[in-house]
Amino acid sequence: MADDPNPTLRADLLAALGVLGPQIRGLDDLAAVSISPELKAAVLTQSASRKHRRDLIQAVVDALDHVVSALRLLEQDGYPDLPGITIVQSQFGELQEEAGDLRAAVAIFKAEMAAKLAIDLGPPADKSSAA
Amino acid sequence: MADINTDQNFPTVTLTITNASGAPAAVDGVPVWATSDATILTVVATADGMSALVSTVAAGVARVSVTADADLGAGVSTITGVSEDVNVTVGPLSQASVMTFSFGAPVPKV
Repeated sequence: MADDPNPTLRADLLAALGVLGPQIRGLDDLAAVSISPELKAAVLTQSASRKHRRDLIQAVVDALDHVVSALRLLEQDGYPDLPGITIVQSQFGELQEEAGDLRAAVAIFKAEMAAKLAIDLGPPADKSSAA
Repeated sequence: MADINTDQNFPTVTLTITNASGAPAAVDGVPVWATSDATILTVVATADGMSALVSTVAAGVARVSVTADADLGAGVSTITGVSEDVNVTVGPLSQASVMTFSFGAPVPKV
């Protein structure tokens, strides 16, 4: 099983969910009792706000779960090893021949070389002005 | 011919490298600068060898030259660039301007 890449974040998020759960349940209960319409509106607003926060946190937790799952699949694929491939001798020979042909073709081309060095003295200046 | 006097130098001498087509080209390594006569001109190149300070030393005629390896691969193909002649004359500050006489101790006419 792959390790959680960010256990600290996960712990923080789960703790936040633990705080939000009772608050949401309490607010929903409060909205069901006999209270004034104004108070009920305020309670429902807070309930919606906390549910929105809970959903966002849950989305991050789900994403972390997805990362762990994907990481597990990656490790099962052998990551980080990336071994070379053994092929039959005839195929290996074919590859070497192809590589030799490519080297021969590349060797045809040569970079255009520098041919001229031009020196521009520029204007003279008083030695005292350079100090 | 470039004229200069010993009170002056060429503070920013630049190098341009081109190929046979006249397009900018690269060389292998840092170009090496020199002068034809270090008693007349001295040269101090920058770290990348693409410019230099040329200072006058004494009157005379000298040239600045640069060599570089044009072969970017393992081989060596040396190319050289030479400046125009630099005619160095004695500058006013270097010329004699004061004559001091020392008479020594007087002695009796015998």
